[in-house]
Amino acid sequence: MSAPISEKLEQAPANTEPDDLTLVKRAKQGDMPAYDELIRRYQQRVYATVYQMTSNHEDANDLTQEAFIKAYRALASFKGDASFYTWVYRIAVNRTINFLKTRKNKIHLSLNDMDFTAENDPDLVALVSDKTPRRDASLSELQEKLNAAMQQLSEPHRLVVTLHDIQGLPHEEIAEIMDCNVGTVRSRLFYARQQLQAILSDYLK
Amino acid sequence: MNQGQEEFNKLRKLLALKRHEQPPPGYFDRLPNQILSRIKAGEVTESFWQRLLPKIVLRPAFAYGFGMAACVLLAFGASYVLQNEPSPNGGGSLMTAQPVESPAMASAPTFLMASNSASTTASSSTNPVNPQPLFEPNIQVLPANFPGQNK
Repeated sequence: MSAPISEKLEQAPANTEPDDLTLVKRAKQGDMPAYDELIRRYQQRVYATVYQMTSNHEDANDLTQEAFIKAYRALASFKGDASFYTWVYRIAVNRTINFLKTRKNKIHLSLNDMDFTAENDPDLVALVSDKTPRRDASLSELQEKLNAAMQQLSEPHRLVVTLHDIQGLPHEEIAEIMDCNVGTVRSRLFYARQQLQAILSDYLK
Repeated sequence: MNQGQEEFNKLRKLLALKRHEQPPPGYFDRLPNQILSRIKAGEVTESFWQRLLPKIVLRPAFAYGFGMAACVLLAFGASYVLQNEPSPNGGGSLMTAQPVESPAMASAPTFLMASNSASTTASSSTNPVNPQPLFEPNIQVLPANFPGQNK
């Protein structure tokens, strides 16, 4: 199984690279390459979160761009109380939730392809082989069912599942992003999983 | 392991499938450039007010400052107007009304005019209010003509 995006990114920055706060200070002074570096550091995480919330690549692309643009314009108000990526996450999440409220029932899935490692993921292989010998077909079927099930959750429930079970963020960090307490995160996660288990029961037996 | 726990484990494995969903190849190489282009394009097309408004909305201190500045300006303007208002003892220009001469008066011989000018220009005395004239200023006064006086 491939490591979650957050783990990959935490390993990535070397000691010689400037930290986020330094880059933010430079970006505030109009240093565009510094902001370019900040985008490159967190674009995958932000995109992945928005994509998993919308299940639509085009929407995720627009919202990710808007989040980084809005963050750039609001850099002056960034005081450094939270980390830059928590702050950007908040902007992206709030923008996405507002978008989903306007979209409401007009759900249109536009799913990304799965990478080649999915077929070799032993956990997924086990899930698929229980169902059908036609591995490729059932993987995409599972993908579609899973995304449809995610879209049936309310936005806060979908967000905690996305951030915790898919992206691997700890409860405390999710609480900071969602501006709520850790207990709320845990209870939302519990109910979201229960709902998903009920919706996907045919694939979990 | 009970059934609920087993289903939960399977759900976690199923959710792991979403980590394998990836955007088209090269997407993350292009994205930063697209964002930076939009930022630069936005800086060019945005007017002063379009850039100022989000700052005010995002930072309430700006809104309070803006409101305070407006109030100070208003108060300063009001005090300036009050200071320049004429004093009640006739020093101001508004109180020094000059009698208006009509064309008829201008053409009349001076000795035939019943003039109230003495009373109308007397407003610089201790009484700041101009007294009402006894006669209309346009009335022509003709010399009395008695039949017995004509020689």
